[in-house]
Amino acid sequence: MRHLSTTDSPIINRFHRLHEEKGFISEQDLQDLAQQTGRPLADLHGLLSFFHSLRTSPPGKNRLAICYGTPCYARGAEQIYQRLAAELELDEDGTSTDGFITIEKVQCVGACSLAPVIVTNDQLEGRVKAHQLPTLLNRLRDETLKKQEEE
Amino acid sequence: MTEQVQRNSPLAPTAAAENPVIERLLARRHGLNFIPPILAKLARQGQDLLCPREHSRINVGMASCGQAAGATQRLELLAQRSDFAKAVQVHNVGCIGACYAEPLIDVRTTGGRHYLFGKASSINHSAIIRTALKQRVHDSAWLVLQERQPGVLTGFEDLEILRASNRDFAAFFTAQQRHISGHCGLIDPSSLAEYVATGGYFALTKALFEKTPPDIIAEITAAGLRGRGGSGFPTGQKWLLAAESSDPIRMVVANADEGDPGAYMNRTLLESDPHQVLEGLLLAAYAVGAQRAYIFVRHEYQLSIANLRKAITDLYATGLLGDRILGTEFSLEVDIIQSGGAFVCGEETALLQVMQGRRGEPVPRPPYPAEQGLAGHPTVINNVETLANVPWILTRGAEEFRATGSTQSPGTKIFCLTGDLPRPGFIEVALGTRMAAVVEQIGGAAAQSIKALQIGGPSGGLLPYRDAPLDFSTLKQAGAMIGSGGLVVLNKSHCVVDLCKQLTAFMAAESCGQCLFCRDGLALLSEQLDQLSRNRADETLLLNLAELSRTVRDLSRCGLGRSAVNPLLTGLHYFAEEFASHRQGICPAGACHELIRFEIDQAACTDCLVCYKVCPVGAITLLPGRGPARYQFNDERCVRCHSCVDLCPHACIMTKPRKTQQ
Repeated sequence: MRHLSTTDSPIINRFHRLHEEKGFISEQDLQDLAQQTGRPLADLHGLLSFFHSLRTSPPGKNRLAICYGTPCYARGAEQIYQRLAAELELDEDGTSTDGFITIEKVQCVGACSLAPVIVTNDQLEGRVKAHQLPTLLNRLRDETLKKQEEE
Repeated sequence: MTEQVQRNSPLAPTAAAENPVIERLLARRHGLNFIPPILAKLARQGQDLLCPREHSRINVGMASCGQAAGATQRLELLAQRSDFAKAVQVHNVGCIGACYAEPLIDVRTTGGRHYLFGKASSINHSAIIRTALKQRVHDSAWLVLQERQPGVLTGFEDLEILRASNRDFAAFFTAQQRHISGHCGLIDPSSLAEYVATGGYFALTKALFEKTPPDIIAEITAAGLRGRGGSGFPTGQKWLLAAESSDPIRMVVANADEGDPGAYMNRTLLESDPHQVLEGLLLAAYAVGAQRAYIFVRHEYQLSIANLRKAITDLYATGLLGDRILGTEFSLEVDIIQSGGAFVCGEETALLQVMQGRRGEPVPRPPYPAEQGLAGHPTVINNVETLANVPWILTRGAEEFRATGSTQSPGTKIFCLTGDLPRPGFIEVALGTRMAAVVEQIGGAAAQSIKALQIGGPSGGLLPYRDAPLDFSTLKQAGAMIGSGGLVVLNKSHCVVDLCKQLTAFMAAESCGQCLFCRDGLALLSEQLDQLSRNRADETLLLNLAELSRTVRDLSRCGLGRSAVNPLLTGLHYFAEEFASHRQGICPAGACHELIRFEIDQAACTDCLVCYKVCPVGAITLLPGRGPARYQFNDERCVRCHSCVDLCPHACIMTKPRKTQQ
């Protein structure tokens, strides 16, 4: 049986694989990639910075993405962001100063019929209201604590 | 319902009969004289799965929207039942389109009857189980459908409505024409056999054995199929350009880099019916003589990618992909490339740049990619929805395709209906269908509640709501475009300036930065709109906005830069008074944060303290004493998150214009 070829896989697919492994692409990853592919490092920097969804700094323990597509924006994405920003102390990268969570604004996740949509740790949630967020943050905090205890 | 009534009613159970021989029926439909044994075998397998003769089949809609609404739990609960072991099969299918009714469960009983349960939850769980086990109608089914010929299910057209308990749900479907999305939500997207049983890969067989590549291009040209990704370029013409090239190495690319906010038809198609897109891709490759094909898909669409991987692996295993497909001279390799969420990559030259490991910056055309694309070879790039049209056209013929839609824009188009309406979803209608039929009949919105429509994503326009046909040329005249088919309905609570600000900021962030006016002009426009929404604009601003927008439109290189200002230009044109009142510091819709403040309706307030408790920033303070008068809003501290407005049990927090100083 034949499989999809991965040998000459385009550089963008390799970026995604790295990104999936640890949530961001480090300077070291880029240097390694430059060595493997023989492409100038600056070139890879240029390519990486072109894509919004690829991070270059480590994310917080949890990730929460707010969809800013038109339907979600129209139905209250901004209110959700304002509420989160008020609840948390976010740095310029969107990560809370205690490293608990990273808040991202993303473009359409393709679930517009459930607007406004947020994605918490890869779990899609629709029809979110700003006032539900403190409960959600508390739940995430509990889960994070439990995970830490298990470790 | 008594036994007597049941026996006489058209809803009485029908006896299980032999299923018709599906492969012969499909071969007749396609005018095929010879059926490859593998296809006949798959079709029979698929039919046994889709239309089991002795048991019921439950389909759970498990596309992204279904999963977000809780379909996974429903599927698990149903799949693990021990009493289902021999009597009921549980399958996961894609999205039927009625996203508002998710999780959606379809119970097919023997005899070809389908019971659709919307918003499935623990409440109607037992009704679903009883319907499947007892094969009897249950009142809580929203819609009951019957296969016209029991045992034949090749798409929505094989079903007719028997009873509609939920009229709204029926109305959602009756105004649609489901050609391209005809299998979505009926078949298991991971099953090749089920797709073949609906007539899948018969068009490919017919093409490989009985038609030449020029025949296919001629058929697509005669059908007048236009690109569904936004440009509306004639597909046949594009294919011909590549087919006539002197370069023997050619490629085809399926563009699934769906970046338009508000459009998710590519995702739904790939999640619900990936084989139809692949068959279109194979046909395109055969028609232009390509040896390699790629699918360029958004990295965010993980379920689509998983479905595509499964589909491609199955095709290689059955000999429908790879060397000498079905024993003919035609060979094709397919690969998936994941994009990284950049809007501009939907533009075909930018897409090619990314595929080659470069920044997604568009390059000037001509030469068109169909002449010189990937590594300099002719490359045909088609949107996923365009490709999904191809098998349909080759099965039914150009004439039947032209029977729907208008002369200039034949066929159907998938729209994603979202925003402020009761029934958002993924719908397919004939091109040229009246706007009212889509928004009011299918979407269920009340005409008087609608202020504007945002059509075609951020490169489309903001149009006042009026009844006009939805086709390529009408929308172009209005200053908008169909784009990929996003249709956001906006009610009176939305501010046009605020929306323009958001859309322009989006385009400014997505500009690749090559052209001065797209890069800096959009950034400047976005900044000026921001000032306007804060009442910090000077007098010349409105004039500047219009002039700068036109400059961006005229002096950008690619289609995205040229259309980036469409929302602003249409907004300025159709909603001029709203821009003017922002100049006065008033947001008529009460949406721009800095132009509004909250106030308590003293007559309705019961002094319950809810608003005081929920405010995340402590913007509500209490004066000594009791009663509504003690609540004080600190406008400077308030972040306008609307938590107090949403939670006030008496709805007594009102939005008021805020007097700001310039």
